[in-house]
Amino acid sequence: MTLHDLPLRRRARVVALRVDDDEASWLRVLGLGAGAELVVLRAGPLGGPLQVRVGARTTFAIGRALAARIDVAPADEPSP
Amino acid sequence: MSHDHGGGPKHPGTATSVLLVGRPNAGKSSVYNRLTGGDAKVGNFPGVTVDVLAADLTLPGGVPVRVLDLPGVYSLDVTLDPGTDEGVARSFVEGVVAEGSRAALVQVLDASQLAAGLALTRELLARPLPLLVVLTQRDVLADEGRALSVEPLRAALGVPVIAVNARDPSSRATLLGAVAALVAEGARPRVRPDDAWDAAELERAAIRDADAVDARALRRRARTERLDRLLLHPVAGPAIFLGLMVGLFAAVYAVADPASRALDFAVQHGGRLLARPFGHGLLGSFVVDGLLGGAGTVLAFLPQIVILTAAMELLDSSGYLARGAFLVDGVLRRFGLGGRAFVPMLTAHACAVPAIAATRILRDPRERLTVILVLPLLTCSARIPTYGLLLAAFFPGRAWLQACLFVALYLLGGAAAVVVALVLRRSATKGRRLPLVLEMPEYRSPDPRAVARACAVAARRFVRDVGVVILACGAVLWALLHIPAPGAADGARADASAMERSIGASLGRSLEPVTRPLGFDWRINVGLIGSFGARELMVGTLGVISGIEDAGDHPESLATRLRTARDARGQRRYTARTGVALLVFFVFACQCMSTLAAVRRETRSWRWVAFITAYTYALAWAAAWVASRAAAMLGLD
Repeated sequence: MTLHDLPLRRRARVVALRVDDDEASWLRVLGLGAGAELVVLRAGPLGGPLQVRVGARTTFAIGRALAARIDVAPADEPSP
Repeated sequence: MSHDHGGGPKHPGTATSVLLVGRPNAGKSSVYNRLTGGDAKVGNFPGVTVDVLAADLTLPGGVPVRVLDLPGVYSLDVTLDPGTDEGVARSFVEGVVAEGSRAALVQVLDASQLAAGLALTRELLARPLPLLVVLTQRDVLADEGRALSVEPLRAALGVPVIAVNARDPSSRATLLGAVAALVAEGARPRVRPDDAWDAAELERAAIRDADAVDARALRRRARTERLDRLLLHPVAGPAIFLGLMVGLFAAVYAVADPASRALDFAVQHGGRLLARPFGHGLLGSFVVDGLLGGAGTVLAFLPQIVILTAAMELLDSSGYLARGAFLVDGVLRRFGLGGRAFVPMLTAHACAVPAIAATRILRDPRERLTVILVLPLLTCSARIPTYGLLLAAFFPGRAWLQACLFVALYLLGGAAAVVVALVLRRSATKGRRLPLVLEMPEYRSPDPRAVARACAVAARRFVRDVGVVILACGAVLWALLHIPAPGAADGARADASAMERSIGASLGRSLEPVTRPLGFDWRINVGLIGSFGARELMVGTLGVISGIEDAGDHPESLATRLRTARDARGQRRYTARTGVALLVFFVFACQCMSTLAAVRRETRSWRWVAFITAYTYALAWAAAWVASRAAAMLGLD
């Protein structure tokens, strides 16, 4: 499943980044590498980005095109 | 407090450079303010497009240092465009390493996001410079009952680590002592290769209960969540955003008018005082009209720049600006731009020059170039006096129509900018787009000192980048209008005024074949020549040509003069069609040398300067021609 298709408020873990090396290292620096835990909080209007909480405190706006290239594995229980 | 404007990362003298590095929102500004006592000079470093704040201070022990506040970055190694924030920070750090100048790095790291910040620490450790890690937000951790211990970090990283609450005045002594010890340490050999620490493990070692999210942390997060639920609501969110932007425009506009009136009054008064010693001859005219008038024009725009900067800084440091970008990204994406582009595009409605500098927040080089190329189309405040004059001249007594046309001109500029951006993204700046990843920080109360500092910096920068150009253009224009063209005395009619025989007038006449289809005669052309350097000069120039000395003060008499002017055959010289064409011309033409200089500075190329000049003037001519035809079809005269 990709981050783009992850239901709102469903916890998940990044499994793989299907992007080139530059972008992958950029995402890792931001804390979005494989293993990062995340939750999609909401989607921006008119095809805007997803608001994604990464870890406990950091929140990012992530464009949908990129979200479609981030593979995630959903956890079972919903986020608090 | 000496400060020089040159030398790049290389600094003359004996001061050691202390470079503050950190992720955005890590609390770098607070540490800088605490360390330097809030003192900031804007350094214009060649080879670096962004102004970097710097302050000189003496450490305990009498060692002089220069503290430099580098732009916030996530990484130094993963950079694309040397003109962006990351590129600037990287070129500074690499500059001091390459030159072997004495320098030290201070990383400001948000302890509540320790593992994330340690990625940058790893990059900094790879540089052969002394490094100090300053952990901020210790109070936030303490608040959550999570004790922070710096010892595991010191042991693993092999560099000094301190934790401070930068908003607490007593932290200054701690910071100064740590920097003094760091500077005394001198150049550090490259870090040993066994830096195989893991950021997440280190975080768990340094912070007790690192993984636990306690009730207070949840409450803090819940507050941001509640605000987001309202401010990012699919309907309420965009409505609030629009309301804020309209309010911001209204504030800028509401202040602009009385401020320029007050300054006009002061300039007139000063003019009378100066006329005494200099007399009413050529010299007096040059000093009063050429120099003083120009200075007044510059100062009249300052209040708007300050208001807009304060508002942007408040929105940014409160965390709202990132929300604004989130809301508009979907719309701007359709035009090949991203959400963050709205920041420079909003700033451009006051002045394109600071807006061009603001594009450095855009990480995608092609998007950044596109935004720079379309910023001159947005309606900056320097156009307002000309719009006001022409609307009053050609649509007299119809206030509602004037207001509608005024708004329409703003919208025309905005629409042109996004359409041109779309065209450029498919031609001149086409290519791969970088995905959007934008941190949305928790809401927090802005630091008033940081806001005040930003305003002071913006005002100084405006006077330097725009003020000097307006003054110079005013002086050149004065010369063009007062010095007779060679041979003009023979050709012109005997009763022709000095103005009609000036170099400016003959230039204006030589342009008539190009501008006649738009209905512009040589007088308007002289105004256009005058406003090529700075469009602020249009109203004054038209006033001088029409024989009204204080046009800025009595625009209604100039408006009447323009409306009722007759040519030799008794025909009206200008019709409403001319007015419409001229208004539309002003929407598109990049009549601003300061903007072109800023484009040169940011793109490091004259090619894009030539491109902007060519496309905006071509567009201006074509659009003015279309507008003039349309006005004729609508029966305007």
